Amino acid sequence: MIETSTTPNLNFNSISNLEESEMTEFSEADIDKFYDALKPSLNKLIKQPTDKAIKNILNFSRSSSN
Amino acid sequence: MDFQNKTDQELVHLYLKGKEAALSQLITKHKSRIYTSIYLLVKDEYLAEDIFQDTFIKVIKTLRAGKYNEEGKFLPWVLRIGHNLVIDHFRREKRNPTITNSDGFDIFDVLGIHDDSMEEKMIKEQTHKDLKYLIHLLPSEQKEVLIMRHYGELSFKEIADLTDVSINTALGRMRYALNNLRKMMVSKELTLKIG
Repeated sequence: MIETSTTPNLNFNSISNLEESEMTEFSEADIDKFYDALKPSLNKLIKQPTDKAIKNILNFSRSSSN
Repeated sequence: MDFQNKTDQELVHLYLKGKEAALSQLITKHKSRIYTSIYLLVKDEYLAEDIFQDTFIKVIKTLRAGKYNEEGKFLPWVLRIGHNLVIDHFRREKRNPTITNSDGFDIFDVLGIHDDSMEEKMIKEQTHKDLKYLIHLLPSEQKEVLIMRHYGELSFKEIADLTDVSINTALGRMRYALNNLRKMMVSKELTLKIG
């Protein structure tokens, strides 16, 4: 889980220099550990399409098979 | 007929033989991965839903035309179609994905954080939004690999094939994505708590 120590006051527009040429600052093991810790938070971003979208697809399939 | 234990390949065959329920099962099985992968690229629920539908309409047309290559796996193939439709969309719009504040429904809202205080709940909600923003700040090729790997659960070989790069490049981009996410989180005082 991700926690914030203070009320976030983020200026995301100031973040830059994320291209691949930048030097890596964390070890492979650190990154693996970080990814493992990040997975639950990433999973919480999972979203579902609406039932209506699925119904539309199935209706298209049925109508196009006739 | 019980479709739940069928492989994707079997479901495709059953669908082509006229079993509409096989398509329903394929959608049910993969909808979260496909929709989330599209949503995180376009960051707009309504647009993501349109592209999700267009993706499956293309899947249906391709299957019916007998053009599906059975040697490939179903999910990577569908994700590739969705990915290409996202690229087509941005080419049409002649712009890059932008960060918007149009978030509406969030699965967190209904999963129930009932025992949290209002403050804790607000922090969690803010943190999830922050993570989404940070993902969107990644360079597009790193964001794509992260999404395909984590949400699409594609192998690095599949990602490499899909994005037309070497496996090492795909692997490297995942590393850079994670590295950059971590750096941003550190600089913005977002910390990970394991457990």
